[in-house]
Amino acid sequence: MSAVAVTVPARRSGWRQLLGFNVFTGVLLGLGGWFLGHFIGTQIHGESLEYYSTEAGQNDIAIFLGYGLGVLGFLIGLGFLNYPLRRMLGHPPSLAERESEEYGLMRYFSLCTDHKVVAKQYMVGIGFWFAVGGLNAMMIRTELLRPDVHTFGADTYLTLVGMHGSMMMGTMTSGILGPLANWLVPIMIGSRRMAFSRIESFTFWILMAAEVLLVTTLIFGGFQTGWTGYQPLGDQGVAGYDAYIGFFALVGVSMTLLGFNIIATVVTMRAPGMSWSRLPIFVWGALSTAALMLLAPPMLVATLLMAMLDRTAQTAFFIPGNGGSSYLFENLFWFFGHPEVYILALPGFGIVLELLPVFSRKPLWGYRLAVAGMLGVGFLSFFVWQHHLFVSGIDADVRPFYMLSTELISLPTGFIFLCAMGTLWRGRIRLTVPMWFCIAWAFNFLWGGISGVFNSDVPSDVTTHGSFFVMAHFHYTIMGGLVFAFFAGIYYWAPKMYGWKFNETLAKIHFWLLFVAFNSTFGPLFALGFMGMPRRVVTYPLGMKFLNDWVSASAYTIALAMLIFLANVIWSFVIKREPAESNPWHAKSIEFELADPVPVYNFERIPVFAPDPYPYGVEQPAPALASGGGS
Amino acid sequence: MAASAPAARTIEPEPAEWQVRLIRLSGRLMCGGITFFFVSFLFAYFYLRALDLNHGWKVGPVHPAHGLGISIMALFLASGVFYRLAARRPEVGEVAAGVLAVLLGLAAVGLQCYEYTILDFGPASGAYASVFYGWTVFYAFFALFGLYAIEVQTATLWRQRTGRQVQRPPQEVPRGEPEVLLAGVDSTSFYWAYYVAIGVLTWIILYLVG
Repeated sequence: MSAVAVTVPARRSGWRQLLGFNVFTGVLLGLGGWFLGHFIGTQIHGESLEYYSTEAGQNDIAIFLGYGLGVLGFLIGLGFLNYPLRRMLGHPPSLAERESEEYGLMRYFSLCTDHKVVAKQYMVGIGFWFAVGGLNAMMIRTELLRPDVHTFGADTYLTLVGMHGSMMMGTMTSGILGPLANWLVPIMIGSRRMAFSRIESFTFWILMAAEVLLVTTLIFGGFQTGWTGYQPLGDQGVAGYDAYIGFFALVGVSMTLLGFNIIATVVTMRAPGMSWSRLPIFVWGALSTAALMLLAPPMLVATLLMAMLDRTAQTAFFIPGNGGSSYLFENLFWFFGHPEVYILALPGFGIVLELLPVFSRKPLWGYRLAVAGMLGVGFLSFFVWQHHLFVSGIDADVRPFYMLSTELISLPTGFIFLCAMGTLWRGRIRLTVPMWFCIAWAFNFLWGGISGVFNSDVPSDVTTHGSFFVMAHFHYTIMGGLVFAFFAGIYYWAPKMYGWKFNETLAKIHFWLLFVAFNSTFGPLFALGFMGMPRRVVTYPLGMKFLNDWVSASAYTIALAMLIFLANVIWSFVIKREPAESNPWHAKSIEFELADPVPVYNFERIPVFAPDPYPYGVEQPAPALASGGGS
Repeated sequence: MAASAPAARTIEPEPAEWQVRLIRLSGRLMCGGITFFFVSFLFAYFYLRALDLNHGWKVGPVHPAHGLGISIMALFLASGVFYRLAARRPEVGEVAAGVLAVLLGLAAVGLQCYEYTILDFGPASGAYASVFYGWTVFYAFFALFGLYAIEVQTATLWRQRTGRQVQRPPQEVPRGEPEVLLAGVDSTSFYWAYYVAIGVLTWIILYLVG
């Protein structure tokens, strides 16, 4: 095939762009779809289905139909139906849509197939919903300022807990893969795009639709199940639980397709020379996460569809009175739920291991061991789910197997930790802001891992299960691991992605405040757990007030740290806009060799990769472009 | 915050084999995802059957329509076999086989919908009935996506072979080359054959084992 000339088309006028397929049209059609679906649901809701409507004053069929047609309308408004219809008529595949400069800023508000635009859409979208989830946490801590019920009431408190958990778990599953892997993976492997660029965009917009669905739970009375949606509490819940089902089902679809796309990209679109043993470790992190995302979320979607049928068609999957079992829900949910934990953790491993060689000026120690660790964690995560059911009345003979398999997972995790420490050992360490976040990750994750052993061990789990100890553990692993790694990645790559430099003083204040406040918030929760404070209970004994006040004050400080980060973004990227250097960290990876800003097509010529992906401190050329690629 | 630089350059095209490998792999990956979706129903079947809580496995007369079940399974099976054979042996004719596969698949989905109207039990007739309805409803629903994929491949091939292909500006990735189109047929037929195999398993579990 011969080379193709790329030209710059004229930019369209703002008004012309508003009248077309974009998020504004999507919202309008989404609202129309909701009302149409609700109307149809109301019409078909006959006497045979009066059970729910009379008992709970709700019409779940109308709500689910409203959600379904609302989301469909939103996607049609964004233009997601145009291409499938063209393809049905036999038109050949096309891989580019709204990528060129012609569309200007409207690319960010519509279906765009440039992976860098989608990554930025993710960055803003995820950032917004992460902030909303954080706001829920602040409200939870406000309620816990006093031992009795005083601000929101017990039901609203439980809804806040459920929304916080669901929003954080649902949003942050794509927290690293969405904004960072979508931007970096194609570039790191020498490709111009993600394998399925429309699917890439679809995963973002469907996630945004899901978040809106979850917020509508407030209109319908909320849900009192927490993020796990346990039955039979869920089935007995008011219509707010429908929002939970819709939210997580859409998140599951988004996750599955995101994983599918990343695997397809990495397996088939690696440039010449990019063999498996030269793949950047961040890409390995994304790939192992993607494998979990492809396989585990479909079970979540199926489980939630069963719950939907229980609430609309009177099936009895989870209703014990009619042959179902609430334990079925627990089993199916956690078969997804535990891999989900590693879906959150693995990309963070990838970021940290990618950054440590840069800031210690040493090759990554134990590259193959780290890869084995990531794959091992992913594989074993499918064999541990029953440890969540240790105190749910499962057969006692089953417990040792799951205790062993859970404790076994600390081995591959240990590999990764070992590789991180081995890379730091005798390195010429530069304490930049991204590096501080990496070190903090190691500290936090260590505590998260050690406390996890207590939860995987049956005797100690029986004591701590359902208490604040468990909450402290998973916040140490997920917030301490994922969120700190996420910020390391942001400070490291955002100057390249956006072209502007962060204010370093504000960045350092952000880090230290966050690190201290994080440990000050979640450390005492271990103690509260040992003292017997249960999760999801709005009141507590007076003797626990001091620790709870301390935790609340620390949690507000976390919010302050986040506000400082936001201020830094606004100051550095909107107000001051000091151009960033092309390679501010003197990194040797390929993304820093590209021109600023990175062109739509990434490379004029497909790069050819040279031997070592981490040639720090050794006499060797940069890992890529040995044969004249780049832009 | 511009994501991309103004471009007025000549760029090297993507290696042609990327797109072919990509399409072939995508069908296989989808098989992985759909397997785990239906494993949930398989797990629910055995779990609830083993528990038989309150003797609620089957409540009242619960008899699936065996004749219709066999017909639905046979139609899906014929659809999958025809299309896979056509993909493996081009002399069979992918376009004709594609049309046939879509028609057979739609007939199977139609029969599945009809079956719900004549069954002597409803979704509330115990755990078996729940699994039966849930599994078959979503099997038929997701079959429509597979049939859509076959229709797309068939329509694209038909346009290309009858010279009705729409000419578009060149892109840096291969789109309409014969090997890309055939890879699409191969990938879709693999996925569809796999999906039909899940259907056969569904039939064995829900109708034969019962």
